[in-house]
Amino acid sequence: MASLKDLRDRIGSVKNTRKITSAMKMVAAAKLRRAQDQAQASRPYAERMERMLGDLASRSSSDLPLMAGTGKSDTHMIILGTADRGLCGGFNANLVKEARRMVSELQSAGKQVKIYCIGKKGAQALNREYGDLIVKRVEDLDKPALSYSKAGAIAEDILAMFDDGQFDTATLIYAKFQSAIAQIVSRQQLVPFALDGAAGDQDAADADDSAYEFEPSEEAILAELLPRNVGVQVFKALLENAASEQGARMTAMDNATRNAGEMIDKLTLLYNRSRQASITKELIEIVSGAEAL
Amino acid sequence: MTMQFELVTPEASEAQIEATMVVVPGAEGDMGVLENHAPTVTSLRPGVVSVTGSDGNTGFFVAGGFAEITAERCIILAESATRLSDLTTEAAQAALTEAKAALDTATSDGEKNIAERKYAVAYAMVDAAA
Repeated sequence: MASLKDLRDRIGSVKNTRKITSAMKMVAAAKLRRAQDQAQASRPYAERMERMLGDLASRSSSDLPLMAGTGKSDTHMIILGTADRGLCGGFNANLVKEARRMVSELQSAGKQVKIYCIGKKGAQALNREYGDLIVKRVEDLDKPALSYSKAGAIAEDILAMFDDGQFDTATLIYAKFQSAIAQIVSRQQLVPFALDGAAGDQDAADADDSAYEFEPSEEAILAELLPRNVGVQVFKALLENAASEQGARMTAMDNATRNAGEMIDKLTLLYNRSRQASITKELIEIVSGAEAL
Repeated sequence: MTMQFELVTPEASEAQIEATMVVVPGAEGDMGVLENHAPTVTSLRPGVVSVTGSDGNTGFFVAGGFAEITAERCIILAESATRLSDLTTEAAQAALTEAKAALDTATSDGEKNIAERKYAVAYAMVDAAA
C-alpha cells in the first residue's frame, strides 16, 4: 500500500499534467480558429477555379496528360498529408491506416506504388514497412505558417515527377474537417484531373453563363489551368488537414484533461481514506496501550 | 457606369473595387475592360493589372493567372498579387538576382522550366516597380 507521501506526490503530478493538457487544449482551439479562417479565405479562389475548370473540361475533349492520363496506370503516387506532431488522438493513425490500406490494395492489384509524405508523422509511421516506397518527405510546413507558395512548391515537385514519367496517377489522402470531433479521412484523385459531381451539377445551373470567349484558346487555358489546379487542390487539402489536426488535438486534450480530473478525485479519496485509517490506527494503539496499564 | 472588380488569390480576396475600367495583362497583349464586355476568359502573363475606380487608379502586380470577364464583373484569379505601392525596386531586383541564380544552377528540364517561369515573373516585377 502506497504511503501518504507517495499519494500526495502522485496527486501533485497528475495536477500538473492536467494543467498542461488544458493549456494545450486552449492553444489548439486558438489554432483551430486560425486554420478555419485561412480555409475560409481560400474558398473563393478554389471555387472560381473549379467552376472554370469544370466548364472547360466538360466541353473540350482534351488529350493533355493531366486531363486524360498517360494511357496506363502502372504506377500510383500516394500523397499522404499528416501532421508533424502527435498528441492529437487518432488523427495521424487514421491517415496512416488509410494509406496502408491503399498501398496493399494497389500492390495486390499488381501496381507499383510510390509515396510522397507531407508531415513528419506519416513518414515515421510508414518508414519501417514501406520506407523504400517513400520518394519524398516534406516537413514543417506550418512553421511559421502554411502558405500557398509552400503548397505550390509541392505541386510543382509532383508535376515535375509526372512530366518525368515517374507515375501515372496520383491520389491525395487527407482528413476533411467536419467538426472538432469528426474528421473524415478522404482520398482525392489529383492526376489525372477528375471532374467531381459537384462541379458537374453547377454546369447545368450556369449553362447560359458559359458562352465565354477564350483567349488565347480553350486548349491553351486548360493547359495552364490544370497544373495550377493541382496546386490549389494540394493547398486545400493541407488547410483541411491543418484544421482537422487542431480539432483532433483539441478533443484529445479535452478528454485528457477530464481524465486527469477524474484521476485526481479518485486519488484524493484514497489519500483521505488512508490518512483517516492511519489516525484511527494510532488512536487504537494509544487506547489499548492505556488499557493495558 | 461601373462594374465589379475582384482580385482573388488562394490565400485571400485581395481587393473588391467598383471600377470604371480595368486593364489586364492578357497572354496575348494588354486588354482594356469596360462595362458590358463580352464574356471572356483569358490567361494572364506576369504584369500589372490597373484598375480605375471612383477613387483613382490602383495597380496590382500579378504573377500570372486568369481573368474571368462578364458584362458586370471582372474577376482576376492570381496566384500572388502585390499592390504596386507595396512593390519596391530593391525587392524586385533581389527576386530577379535569385531567379537568375536558380536558372543558372538548374540541371533537369523540370527545374529549368520552373526557374524560367520564376525568372519571367521577376523580370516583369522589376519592370512594374520601375
